[in-house]
Amino acid sequence: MSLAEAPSPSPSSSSGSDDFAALLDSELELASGADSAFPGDPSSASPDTDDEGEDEDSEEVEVELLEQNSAKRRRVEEQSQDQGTSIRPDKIATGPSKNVQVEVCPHPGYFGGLCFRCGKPQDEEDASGVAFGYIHKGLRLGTSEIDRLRGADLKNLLRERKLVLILDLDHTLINSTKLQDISSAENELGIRTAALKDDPDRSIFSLDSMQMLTKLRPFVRNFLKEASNMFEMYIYTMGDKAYAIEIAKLLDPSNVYFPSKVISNSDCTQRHQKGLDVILGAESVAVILDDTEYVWQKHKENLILMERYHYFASSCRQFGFGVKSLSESMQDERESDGALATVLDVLKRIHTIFFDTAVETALSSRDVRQVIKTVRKEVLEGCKLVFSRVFPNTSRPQEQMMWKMAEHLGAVCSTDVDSTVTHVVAVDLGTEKARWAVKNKKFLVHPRWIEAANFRWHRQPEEDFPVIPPKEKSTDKEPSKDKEENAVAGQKETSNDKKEENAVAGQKETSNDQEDNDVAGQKEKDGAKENAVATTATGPADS
Amino acid sequence: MFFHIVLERNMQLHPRHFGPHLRDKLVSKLIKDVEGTCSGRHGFVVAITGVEDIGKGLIREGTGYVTFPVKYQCVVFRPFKGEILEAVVTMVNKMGFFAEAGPVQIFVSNHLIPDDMEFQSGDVPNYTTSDGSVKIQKESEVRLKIIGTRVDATEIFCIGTIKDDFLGVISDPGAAV
Repeated sequence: MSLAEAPSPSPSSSSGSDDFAALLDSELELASGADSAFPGDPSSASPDTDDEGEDEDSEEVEVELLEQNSAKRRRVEEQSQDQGTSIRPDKIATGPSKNVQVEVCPHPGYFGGLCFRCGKPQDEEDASGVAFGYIHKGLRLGTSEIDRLRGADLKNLLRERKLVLILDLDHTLINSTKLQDISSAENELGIRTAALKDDPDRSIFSLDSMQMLTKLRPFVRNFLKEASNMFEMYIYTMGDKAYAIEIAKLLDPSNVYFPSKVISNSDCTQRHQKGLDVILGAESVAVILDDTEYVWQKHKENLILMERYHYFASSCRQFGFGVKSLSESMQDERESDGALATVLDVLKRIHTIFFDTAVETALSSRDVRQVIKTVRKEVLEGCKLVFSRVFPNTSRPQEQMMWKMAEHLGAVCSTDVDSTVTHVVAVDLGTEKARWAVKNKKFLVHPRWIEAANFRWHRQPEEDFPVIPPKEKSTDKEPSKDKEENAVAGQKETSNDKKEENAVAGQKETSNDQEDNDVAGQKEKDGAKENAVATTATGPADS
Repeated sequence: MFFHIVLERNMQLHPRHFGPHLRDKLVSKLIKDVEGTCSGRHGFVVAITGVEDIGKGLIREGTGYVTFPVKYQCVVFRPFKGEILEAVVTMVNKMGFFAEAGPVQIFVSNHLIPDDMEFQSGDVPNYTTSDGSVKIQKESEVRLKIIGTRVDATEIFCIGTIKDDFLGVISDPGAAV
């Protein structure tokens, strides 16, 4: 071997194998031509450049031209004319290529840049469709194919009595912190050693590869187990893929809940937005659990907002809470009535309403968004709210978040006080309406009462959300409760005479029932309250 | 299809390797660099079987690296359009199924699965004929025909079909008796 041959990759250096590959290609082409199988790709007519990256098609042309095989040449020309079209694979076996009925392949989707129906490469400029990297690398589906799959999927799901549930990870199912962000208090409590213990029931895990510590939200395992019977579940997180997969392994070690259903930030079609477009489930059956409303701009109706789960101190700091974190005070949400248990009840209810209501509409035309709305409307049903100094004077109260939230929860909002009002929402005891509420024995609650009801999906005991009272008043709050209860019940009875009678009557019963429950729980504590219960219970019966 | 061919490559070697084991170093670096890679022309390099010739090295000015032209024999695997392959199913979903033949990933979409096979979801998703006699699920071995290929630097993507005579399941893990 001489030096002259040595310099950098000359085109001729691998000519031996070039010829070989070309020969093979042409042989295969001949063979496939003979049995009239799939014709080659539309040939590019450009002259053969013979460099390393060239594709086999141009070689085919070259070889065939050299052979001067007129029949083959005709075929090549045909193909060039049919560029961008394809032959349906199922028709191919029917006859020789010349008689084949040519149809345009709709290119339903691509795998690794090849149409998965006709095998043709994707056009460079045509980047249509949505990437489904979380199912398999290189998979891309066109919109019509997605719709087709969703339609087929919907039938299957409804037959199995399942809906689709999309779960967020951080602050919804888990809370994570970087190892370097662990506070000294947490370290002293031995949080890291807890993660290293070999206990199958532990809920703190250390992700060594990512230098992170993850805490599962209490009840999450039961939640997933029960929800998997009612839902086809997806994980959808803004975290990166490696993190999402690690967490999915923690939550679902045997990979039964989320097989190829873990969606991470690399799969999002829009920056900082989550969308249902990458989910092969119809929007009409999708329920979303997330702690951030902002990312679901287009699908707010599907969303069930979750109370954020902050376990680690770093997470609290990140969201600007100065208080001690759960980890630092060695506390945690309760299993039995924590956020996940609450939301599981809501999900069960949604599922029941969706599948078991006696409505005449066909299953496939039902919409889970309507069901969510209905369930939400039951929360504060029968309450009539007046806001006092909660909103700035300059803005219309109807546009305020709190006002809308209350309305979504089924409450009636009003700007002025009258005898039908049940609650006054205020942050200050000194306002006119607040004083009116105290005078007329109406509930006076802090705006947080509405937020709590929104998260917990249940009307909260009003006395837990007092308007920051002056010191001496806070003590007599408890005793006054009985009276309030009676007052409300009595007031409701009288209000039956009013013009809204029919509309409101039905709601009253339910709201009174709720009060029954509220009070019933306290019966054991306070026998005297039984009187109050009795009066309330008879209220609806009389009317 | 497998081929045993001779390829050539220019290898850059760091001067610290110059010495009695230069040739060994060169060969081990070649194996490390080349095995498992893909090229659009030759496909997947499965194994290097021998080194035919190492040309004279050319010292690169400035860096001290030396470039050797190396001719080597190797086994390559390259799928062709129209080729029949046997592959193992790795994932089944409503879009179709994915299968692997060694390093080659093949996708068979449900457009190219016979119409009488229907997708069944569940713990083990599968495609089953209406009479239940044929079932494609994870780990099934299928015979399929390639209708399109694309070769990347590290991966080969193929589109396959089983909608043709004599194609389909050749061994079914679920049916093992």
